[in-house]
Amino acid sequence: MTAAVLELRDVTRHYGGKRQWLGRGAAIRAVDGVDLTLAAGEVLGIVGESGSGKSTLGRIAAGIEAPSSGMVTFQGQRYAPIDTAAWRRQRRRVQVVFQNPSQALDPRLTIAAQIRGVLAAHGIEALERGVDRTEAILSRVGLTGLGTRFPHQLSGGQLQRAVIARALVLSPEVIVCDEAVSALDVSVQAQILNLLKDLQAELGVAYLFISHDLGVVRHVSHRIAVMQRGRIVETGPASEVFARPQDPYTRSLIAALPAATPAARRARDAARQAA
Amino acid sequence: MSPQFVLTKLFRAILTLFLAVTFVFVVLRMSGDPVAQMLPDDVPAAVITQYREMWGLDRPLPEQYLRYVSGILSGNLGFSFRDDRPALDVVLERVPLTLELGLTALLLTLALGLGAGTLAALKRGSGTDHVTMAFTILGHSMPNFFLGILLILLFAMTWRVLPSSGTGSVKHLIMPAVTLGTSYAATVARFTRSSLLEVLHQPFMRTARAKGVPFRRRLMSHALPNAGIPIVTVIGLRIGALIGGAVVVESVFAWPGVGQLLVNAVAFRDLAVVQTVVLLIAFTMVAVNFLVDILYGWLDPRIGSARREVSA
Repeated sequence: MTAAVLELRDVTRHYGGKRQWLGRGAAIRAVDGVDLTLAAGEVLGIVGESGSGKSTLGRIAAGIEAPSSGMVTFQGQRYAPIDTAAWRRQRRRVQVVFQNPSQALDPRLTIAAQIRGVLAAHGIEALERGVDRTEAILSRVGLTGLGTRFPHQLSGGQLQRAVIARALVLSPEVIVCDEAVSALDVSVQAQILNLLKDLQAELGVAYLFISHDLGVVRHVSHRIAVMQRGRIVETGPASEVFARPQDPYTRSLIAALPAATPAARRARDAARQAA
Repeated sequence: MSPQFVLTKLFRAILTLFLAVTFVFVVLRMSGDPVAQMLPDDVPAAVITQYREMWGLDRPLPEQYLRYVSGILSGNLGFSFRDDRPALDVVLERVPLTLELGLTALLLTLALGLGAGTLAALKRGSGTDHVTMAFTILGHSMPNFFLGILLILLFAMTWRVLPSSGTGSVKHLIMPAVTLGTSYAATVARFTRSSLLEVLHQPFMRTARAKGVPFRRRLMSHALPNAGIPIVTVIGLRIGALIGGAVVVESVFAWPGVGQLLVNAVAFRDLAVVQTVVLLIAFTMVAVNFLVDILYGWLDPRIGSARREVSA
C-alpha cells in the first residue's frame, strides 16, 4: 500500500452545548472518535444515512472546520489553524467539491474569473509554459469555450464540471467530494462520475468520496467506510464490503439498494431474509 | 445596457419631473395668495390688483401653467417675488452649502452604516452585535431634529465647544452633518447586516473558504458585492432623503442651504423659488435612481446580461 496522504486520528466534533437563555443546550456528537487513512491516489467512499456525520467529517477532512478533538494530518503534517498562511498553503493540496453546484459558485462572476481568482489567491501564474491554465482545465473537464459564461447560464452538469475544474486547477493531492453528484439527474450523474474516475486515473489524485448513495459509492471507490451516528462501523475494500458486509447496519443499507435485474432482486431478497 | 433600457429610463425620468412640477404648481396656487401674504393688510385693493397684474397672477390658471412650462423649456424658471431676481439664481447660490452638508452626511452614513453593519454581521450574536443593533434602533426612532437639539444643548450650550448655528468652518459643519448622517447610518447598518448575513451562509462562501481564499478577500470580493444590491437600493433612497432631511436639519442649525430657502420660500409664497427647489429635488432623485440602476448592473452581471442567450 502506498503512503497515506490524509490521516484522521480520533476525530470528534461536537455541536451545541453553548450557553443559552436557560442553562446549557445538549451537545450533539456529529463525529465521534473517527480514525481514517486515505492513501495517495486512493478513492475512499464514505457512506451512511442523513445525519450520520458524513458531511461534518468531510468539512473537517477538507480543513474548513476544526475538530473538537483529535487531529488531522496531511502528508504527516498537522492541519494548521484556519485562516493562517500555513492553512492556506494546505488548502492548495486538499480541495473540495460540494453537493449543490448552482450555489457553490459566486453568481456575480464568470466561470473563468472564479478559476483565475483561485489561482490569484494562491499566487499562481495564470500561464503554464505559455498555456492558459484556466482554459486548459476547462477543456479538460469538457467546458471548452464556456469560461465566459456566468453560473446561471450553465446547466447543473456543466456547473459541477466547473466546480471540479475550480478544485483541480490547484493540482491538489486530495479532493473531498461531498455528495458531489447527488443534486444531478441520473444521466448527468454518470457523466460526472466517469469524469471523476478518469481524472483520478490520469492525475493520481485521491478522493474522499462522501455519499448516501451506495450504488454511486460502489461505482467509484476502492475502499469504503460505513458511518452511523458519528462513528465508523465498518471499513474494507469495496468489493469485500458489498460481498460480505460484517455490520448489521451495512447489511441493511445494502439490502435497501434497488436491484437492476430479477435475478439480482431474488438474491437481494434472499439476503434480506438472512439478515 | 441596451438603448431601449436607457430610453425607457429617460422617458420615466421626464415623466416624473413633469408630474412633480405640475403637482407643486397647482398646490401652491390653491393654497394662498402671495400678494396678500407680502403686502400689509391695509393696502388699497387697487395696489393688490396692480401687483397681481405685474406678476401675472390675474391670468387664468391654465395660461399661467403653459407660460411656466414653456419657460422651463427655455431655461427661464420665473422670478423670485422677494428677491426680484431669477429664481434659478436664488436657488443655485444655495446649492454648494447644501451639497457640502449632504455629502459630508452621506460619507458619514456610508462609513458608519457599512462599517457597523459588516461588523455586526461578522460577529453575529456577540455583544458587539447587540450593542450595534440597539444603537441602530435608537438612530431609527429618534427624529433627527430632536438629535440636533440634543447636540446643540450639549456641545453648544453646556460644553461650548461647537457653534450652534451658521456656517463658515469645519466646526460649523460637524453637528448638522452628524445629525443628518447618523439616522440614515442606522438604516444602512441594519440592511448591511441582514443582507451580509444572508450571503455569508451561501454555499459559495464555504467554497471560497475551501479554496483557501483569505478572509479579507472572501469578504471584499465575494460577500460584500453579493450583499450589495439591497444596500445600494437603500442608500439610493437615502440620498434623496438626505435633501429632504436637510430641510429640517438646516432649519435647526440655521444652515443657509437649499432646505432653509425652501422653508422660507413656502412661508413667503415665493412661488417661482419653491417650484425651482422642488424641480431640483426631483431632478436629484431621478439622477440618483439612474445611478443606482447602473450600479445594479455592475454589482450583478445577471441583470445586465439577462437578454443574452441562456444555455440549457
